[in-house]
Amino acid sequence: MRLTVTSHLTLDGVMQSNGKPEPELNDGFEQGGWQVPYFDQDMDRLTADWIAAADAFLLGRRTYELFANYWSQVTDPGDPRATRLNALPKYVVSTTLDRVQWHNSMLLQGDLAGEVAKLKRQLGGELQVHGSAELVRTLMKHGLVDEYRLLIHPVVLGNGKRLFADGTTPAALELIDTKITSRGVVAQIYQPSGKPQYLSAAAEQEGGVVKDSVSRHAATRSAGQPHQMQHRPADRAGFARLKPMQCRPGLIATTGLDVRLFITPAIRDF
Amino acid sequence: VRKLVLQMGVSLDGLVARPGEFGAGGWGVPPEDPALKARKLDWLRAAGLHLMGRATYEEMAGFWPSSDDEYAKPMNDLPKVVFSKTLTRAEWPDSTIASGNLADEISALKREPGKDMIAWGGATFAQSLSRLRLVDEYRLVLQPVALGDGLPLFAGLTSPFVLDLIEAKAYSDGAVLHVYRPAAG
Repeated sequence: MRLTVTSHLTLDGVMQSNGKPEPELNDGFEQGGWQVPYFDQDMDRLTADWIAAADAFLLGRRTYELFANYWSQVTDPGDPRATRLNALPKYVVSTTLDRVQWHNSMLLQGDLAGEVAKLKRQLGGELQVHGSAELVRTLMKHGLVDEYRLLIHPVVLGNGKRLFADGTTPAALELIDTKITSRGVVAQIYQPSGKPQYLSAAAEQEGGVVKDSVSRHAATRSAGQPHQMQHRPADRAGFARLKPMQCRPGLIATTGLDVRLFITPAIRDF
Repeated sequence: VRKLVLQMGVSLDGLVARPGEFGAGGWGVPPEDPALKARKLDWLRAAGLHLMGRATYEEMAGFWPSSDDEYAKPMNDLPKVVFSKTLTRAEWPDSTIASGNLADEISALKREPGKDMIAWGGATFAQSLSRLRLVDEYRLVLQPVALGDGLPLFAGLTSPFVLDLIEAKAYSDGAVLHVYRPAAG
């Protein structure tokens, strides 16, 4: 299975309680529901199409409880989110729950990374993570995420739990696609591209990093990683009516690199 | 009244500085897309004043005067204001030290005639500008990397704020430019 992570973020990276206030969590966060003003037709279409592409869900305990309480009550067979979320298998990561009651839910216990890796090997299709920040960071640490779908909202909260909190495993990513909704949310799709290869002063002098960087990106291309999303019809449909952005023609691989460009200004890149 | 633009590279985890490193070159991101560079050069040439915190000023003052990059000319030619309570000398040509209250200093600069001002960070200076609501436009280059450790663009805010997305554009190096202005009201 491909494991995809979908996350609604503020510009300062906060992900918690995007849909509604959750005073029952007693975590002191008072800005729940911050995402609601940005939910427009574009966002609706985009996220509904993502969910329609799911074959199973992988959820942390908090997100599981939130989803189970809400979506199990939505019985409209015409609701594309509810039908998928209620019907499809849900794997729940928790060290405190001993049972899960939402239809077709299973607890994942023991070695989380091993269990998720096994799921990915054994099943086909798309395993979707929504919310679940702590789980996402664990998956990142073990290299189990295949795609990030980040929806960056034009608001700065100043506090709250962040998806990529301090201590996140450093990751280089490849930008796959980008779209803007009518209310100023920017959707950015990334796939992992290994570890960041930092430009050290020594490597700079030897010119080694330029070579490394080029080879890393060239390797990404030749490994046949998708540059576009044509292999996922649902995604393309979701993007079809959104305002297009100029997006990744693969320039790095196809144009001559100005080596100087990387060695000097990149160091002082603002 | 002229605008204060905060222009910075930001990692996907919201950081603008990696400990001990400066800028995107220390972040392991690909070479800058020439189209993005052209855009930034246009902005630079349209600016009237550079604003910097002390550490960023010292790093840039040690770098741009001897650089032959295209960025160097506008970086060297435009006047600079460095915000510091401790600095006594600023030797990069056409530099002024501002040591007073930040909000007052910025307000006075905004009222002066001239073209827009670009603030380049670093992190502490940028955080103060946002906290005091002095930024009229954010030009953020979101780099395709999570750093895991570093200094955030936003910190110490006393209240949330809403922005209008003016523009977002993806570049072939994987960077995404976001331009925001504070929403009215």
